[in-house]
Amino acid sequence: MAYMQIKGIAKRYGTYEAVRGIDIDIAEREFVVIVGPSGCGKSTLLRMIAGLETISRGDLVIDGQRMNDVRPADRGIAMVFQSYALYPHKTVEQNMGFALKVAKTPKDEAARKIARAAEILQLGPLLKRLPKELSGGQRQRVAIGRAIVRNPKVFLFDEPLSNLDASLRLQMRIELAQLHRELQATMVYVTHDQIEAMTLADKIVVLRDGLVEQIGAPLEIYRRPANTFVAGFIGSPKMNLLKARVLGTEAGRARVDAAGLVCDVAVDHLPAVGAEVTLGIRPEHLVAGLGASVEVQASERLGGVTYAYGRLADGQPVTVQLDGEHDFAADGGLTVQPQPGRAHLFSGDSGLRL
Amino acid sequence: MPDRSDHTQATLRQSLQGWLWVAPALLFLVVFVYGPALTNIRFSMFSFSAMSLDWDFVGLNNYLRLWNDPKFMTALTNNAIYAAISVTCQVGVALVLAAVLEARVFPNFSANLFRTALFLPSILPVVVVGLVWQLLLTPTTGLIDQILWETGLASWSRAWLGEPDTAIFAVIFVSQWQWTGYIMALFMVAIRAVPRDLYEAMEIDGASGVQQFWHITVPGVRETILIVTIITILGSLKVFDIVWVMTAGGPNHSSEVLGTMMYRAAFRDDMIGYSSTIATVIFFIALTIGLVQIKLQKDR
Repeated sequence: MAYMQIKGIAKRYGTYEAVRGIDIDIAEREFVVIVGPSGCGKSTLLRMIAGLETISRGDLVIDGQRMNDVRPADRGIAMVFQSYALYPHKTVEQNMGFALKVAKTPKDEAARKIARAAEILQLGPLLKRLPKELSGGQRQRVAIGRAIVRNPKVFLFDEPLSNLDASLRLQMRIELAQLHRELQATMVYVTHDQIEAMTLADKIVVLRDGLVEQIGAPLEIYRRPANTFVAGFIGSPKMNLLKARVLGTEAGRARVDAAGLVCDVAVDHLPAVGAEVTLGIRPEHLVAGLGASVEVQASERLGGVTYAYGRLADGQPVTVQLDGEHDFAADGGLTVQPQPGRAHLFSGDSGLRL
Repeated sequence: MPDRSDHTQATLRQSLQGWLWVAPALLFLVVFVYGPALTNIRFSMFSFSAMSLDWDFVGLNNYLRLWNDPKFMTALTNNAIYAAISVTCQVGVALVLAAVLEARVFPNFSANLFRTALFLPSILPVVVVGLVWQLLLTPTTGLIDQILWETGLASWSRAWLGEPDTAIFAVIFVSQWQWTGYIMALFMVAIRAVPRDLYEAMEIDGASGVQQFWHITVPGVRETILIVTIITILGSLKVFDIVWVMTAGGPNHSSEVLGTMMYRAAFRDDMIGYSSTIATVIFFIALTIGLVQIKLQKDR
């Protein structure tokens, strides 16, 4: 397995820069998930790593070797595509063995590698089938199998689960996590789904407009988002970002008020008293009880939990996660307060964490 | 529960509506295609002139006569050569050209230029193409001969359209020049429908351009290959215009094809029955090829 360094990589199409200088260090055996909204440059970055796009600026280093001008097949990478990209006229076995055939691997060795990958992915009974005879999940497994037989230094995944239905996606997510444990491989995984990012990653890279917004472990990003974009992107439902005013400060803490939602927030940089700031509080960190009143406009009852969507007194939208048994009709309204120590504070101007 | 007879009546009504919709097209086909085709088979059993009302029933004698006509074998052979070369060039070469142009080997500007240059001959009328190439192939003064002289290949110079050994090949060459670009454009459209990431997966698997062509492009466009092959073979079987314009089947019938033979029998020799016999033979060969195509497509 290999380590990878992405040093100031950029991609320019004419005058438009899709990726604007990205630095990421990926350790051996690390599972890195690159996450971001559509058009943030995550797939372009992955394709540059794969060698399917030229690198306009910066360096790509795998195991100490600069790979910018190395052809895709010689980079020691394997890629799983969003569309699976299985060769439609070849059987599962031929799909998995094609790279070995091209590399003129001896037949018995190739058969051994295919058999091992098939065993890992439970593809044994499907080896003689054509891709069109497989379900979505099976196709995805074949695509992963095709990557495994190449024994690559780095696995690249380009939104591999986005074509699957919800239940299959969950199952494949678990299987991918198991696969990573089993293969102990370096993996780079691109997705726009923050749940995939949170559940699979050792390290998450959040991208926006071709730039890195934050790099960190999933819980680190969840607990200490670097700015309002990351705060809103990671977590589901998304974090409430409320306009608030600083009531007072003391060592390492600021007291803020957002339409009656008053709380103390730990900060690294003290804001000025009276300053406009953004209070970040996740729906699961608001509890029903005394505090700010919320006019509930809609709710989603999921059984275990209930999400209430409403507005604070000044009209700011707010989402609250409640117990699944919570009864709005009996309440006749909703008042909420933040759990202590769970709120975040961001600059009102730059959106950066305070 | 609805009555069964109601259901049957509704089905009949729907079916009648369907027949009414297709009736005009069906009528057109019967009057202008199937009717004449069947009448032509009937004509082939008679010996008669277009100028006379006297029809002599000869049964299958016209077919026997055709079988024993040495020009028929020459024409059939020429049609077969025409088809073989056309399939090679218009399917084989056109597919390779399309794959190269779609592989983004060349910069966009050059690729567009090649594509346009190769496609352009297909929009010219066949008669114009025939006449232009007649001039180009004129012995001594034609551009082709001039080039041969200038490049020291004077010994290759000959009357391309005037010698029995080269006449049909010169005509076939011109036909390939005209149509290869057109077929290439069809293949380019088909290749564009092949998902791009299959090529990218191949690239990552280490496949060369040639391997990508054989493992992705060819299987990806095989439907188009089949259809284009059939169209090309049928076109070669029915060819008439370019041969008639360039050689009129000569010299000494060496470049005769079934089309020119049929035309000559009908409009030069006034043997309508014999001409219909040739037309019937063409019809049945074309029908057989068409049925093979339908069978092959069904098998896929």
